[in-house]
Amino acid sequence: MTRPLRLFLLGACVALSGVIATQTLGCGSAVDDARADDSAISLPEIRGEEVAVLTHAPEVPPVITRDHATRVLVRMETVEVARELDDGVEYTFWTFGGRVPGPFVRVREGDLVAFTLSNAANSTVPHNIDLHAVTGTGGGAAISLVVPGHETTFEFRAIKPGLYVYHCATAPVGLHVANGMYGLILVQPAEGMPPVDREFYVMQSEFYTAGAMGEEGLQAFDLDKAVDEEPEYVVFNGRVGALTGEDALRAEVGETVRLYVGNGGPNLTSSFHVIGEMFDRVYGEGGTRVNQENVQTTIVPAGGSAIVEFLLDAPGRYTLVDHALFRAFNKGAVGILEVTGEERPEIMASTGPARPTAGAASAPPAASPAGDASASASTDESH
Amino acid sequence: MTRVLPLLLLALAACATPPGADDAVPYDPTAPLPEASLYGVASAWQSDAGEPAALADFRGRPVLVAMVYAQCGTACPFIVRDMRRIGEVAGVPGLQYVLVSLDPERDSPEQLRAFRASHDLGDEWTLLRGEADDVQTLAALLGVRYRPDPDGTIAHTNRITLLDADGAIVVRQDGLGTDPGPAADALRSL
Amino acid sequence: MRCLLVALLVGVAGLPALAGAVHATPPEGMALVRAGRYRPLVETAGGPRTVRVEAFYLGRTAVTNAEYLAFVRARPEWRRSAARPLLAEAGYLRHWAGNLRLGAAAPPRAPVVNVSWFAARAYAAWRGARLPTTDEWEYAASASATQRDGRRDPAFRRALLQWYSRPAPSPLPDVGRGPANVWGVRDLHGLVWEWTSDVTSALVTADSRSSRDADSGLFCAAGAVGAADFEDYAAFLRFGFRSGLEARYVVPNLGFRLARDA
Repeated sequence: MTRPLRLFLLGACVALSGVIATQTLGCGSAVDDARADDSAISLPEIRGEEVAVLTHAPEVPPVITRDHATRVLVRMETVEVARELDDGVEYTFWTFGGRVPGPFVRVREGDLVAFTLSNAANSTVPHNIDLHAVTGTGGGAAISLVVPGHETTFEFRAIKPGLYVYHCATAPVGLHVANGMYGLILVQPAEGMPPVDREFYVMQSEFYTAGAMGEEGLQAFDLDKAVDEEPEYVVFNGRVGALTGEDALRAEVGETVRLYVGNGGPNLTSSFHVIGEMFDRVYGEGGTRVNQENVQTTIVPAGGSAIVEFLLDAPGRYTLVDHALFRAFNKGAVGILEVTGEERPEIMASTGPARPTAGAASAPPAASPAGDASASASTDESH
Repeated sequence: MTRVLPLLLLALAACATPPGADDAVPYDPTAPLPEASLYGVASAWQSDAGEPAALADFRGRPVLVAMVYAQCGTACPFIVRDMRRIGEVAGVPGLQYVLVSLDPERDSPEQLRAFRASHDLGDEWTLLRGEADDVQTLAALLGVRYRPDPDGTIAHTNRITLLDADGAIVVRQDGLGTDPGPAADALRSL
Repeated sequence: MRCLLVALLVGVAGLPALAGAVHATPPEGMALVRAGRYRPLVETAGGPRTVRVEAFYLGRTAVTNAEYLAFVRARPEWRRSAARPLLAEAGYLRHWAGNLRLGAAAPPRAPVVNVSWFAARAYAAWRGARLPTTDEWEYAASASATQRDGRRDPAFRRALLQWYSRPAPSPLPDVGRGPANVWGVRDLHGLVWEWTSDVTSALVTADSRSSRDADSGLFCAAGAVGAADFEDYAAFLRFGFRSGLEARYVVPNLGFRLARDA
């Protein structure tokens, strides 16, 4: 058979089968007599029922220790609320649970999740939820739409382990996400994850305000900036300074820390880095396998996540940043991890005061602070 | 009284529940309808025989109802098939099947009769058409969404609704080729 | 010269006929929305990209609490304690103080809310009117203060989005405080959502990402559905809202206004 003829027949076959498909299956082409045979995926037996522990960032619910799948009840309410985005700057956030990011949901591989989503009566718009952990059309979004003052319940099996983003997917999706409707859901693998001393929940995102960064008062959403991907704010956990000062993350020397890092976007990819530390292990893109070790900066895609672990060798102040630096230093993508404990001068120390470089003899001698021989063994961030 | 009694007896006999039914009390068609009954919402219909019909005509026995249209060559035959399936699986005698046209303008009684013939629908099937307002009201009560499209088709939700003897909604089955089990179970429990 | 004057007068008198049908004075409280074409947000493959809307009368403002009170006085079956759950879910008129008392949360001239589609329709029928269709409503709502189609105007769009940037006020403000659009109709934006007669036609799934192929098992969609203008965020929001409604629902920020054939 000549090649052109073969291609023609192939094309005709495809076209014809397409026609037949639409005739016999009609609009319901995805659903037909040969309904999906579930035996292809073996689902573990469900035993018992429990109410999920939900936490606000940066807290993470406790490790799940049960060894079987169960029915987990999750309740979330979507709330539109004006809160501070920065000192003196207010924004009407659209939220899961009243805060940005939404609560951290922790379930176990195989769990049957019964999810009840309610929309506060004083909301202006409808909301729903798309959980990236859900296998199926829209991740639950199509069946979870609720208008203000209503609620709905749907169920899904968490068949794939990993760290997933969830977010509102009501039209227009960009607006709902830009206003703060996202969070993380961890589907713990059946075999569990290696134990660590501390876990934290960190979620990066951007905000597009009509006023420039720092302009006070209630700020409106700016569609043009969002479309152009030029945010005024890039922050961790929903506001400038959410992880600083009294709200800084805290740990101790010698502990292993695991960060569940999400990126709600809506637009930017994060170059996540902790100044002064390396990630001993990275579960790239929030998957279930450590796919890299000794990493300085890892990518967290918009609508994605990463899990990083590191042993804290020395005390001090470690800074979480998006290493796209102007976001960190000019738009708010900065957080602090305060590590307390015994100093470790053998890890890092200064070996003497600053001195002039060789060959600068003609320059006037620097006003040398002779009495201030600061050979202190502090681990200042020298970056 | 002597005139009324035979009529009453006739009415009772006509509405007697099928043998083997759980409730020994025959259905009383004169009892007030419960609030949840769709039959309590005023509407006027016409059957494919061209006769006037009312939803309350179906009182006394459960009903599987769906909204389709004669020109729909794609999903609607599947809805009919799915309705039959529920009936087969449930195995409940006396089940009524009702199809209401979403397109009363084009679906004349003649068109509906042709649809009946081409799908081989027996006496237990009733095909109805009505005024646009009544179609809209019924669709709203059933939660059926529909939208006429410029190419002459009507995009619509694929939904089969089970009504009890009083015309109240018992259960809904959505989609095409859906497992008839839950609907059949609900039907058997009536 | 006289001939010229006569010709001029005849010409001027004939102008309305040239401009389009002459309509009688609009019924009280309503404005004439002239026939025209508009491009709906939701497109269907193979369908026309514009829809023609015939001239119709539209309420200048939404129906108020006071107006609805008159209705339930006349129609006891629609009073709060009597309304059938089949036709209006729990929460029907919850902001009123009683069956026939408005109370502080329901100012008389504020738009009536917490009413279902069945209730709105019943009110319209009582008034000898009807609800506007979605096309009629969207067509009228695309008008700004100066243009029949203000949707390309970034300032118009921005003003619409402002509404969503603020938490909803409680109680709701009076109707008629917003600027009139080119048709003389107020508050189509910025006050409450509004029922339309064919709200049950909102078929695209609420998940706008998949609007290209609606959940095909649940919806027999006659072809791909796309959005005409992805940046028309306000229309998207309204569309999303309608998709989530059932006819018996009541929502604290959902009211309605009347329409009549012209």
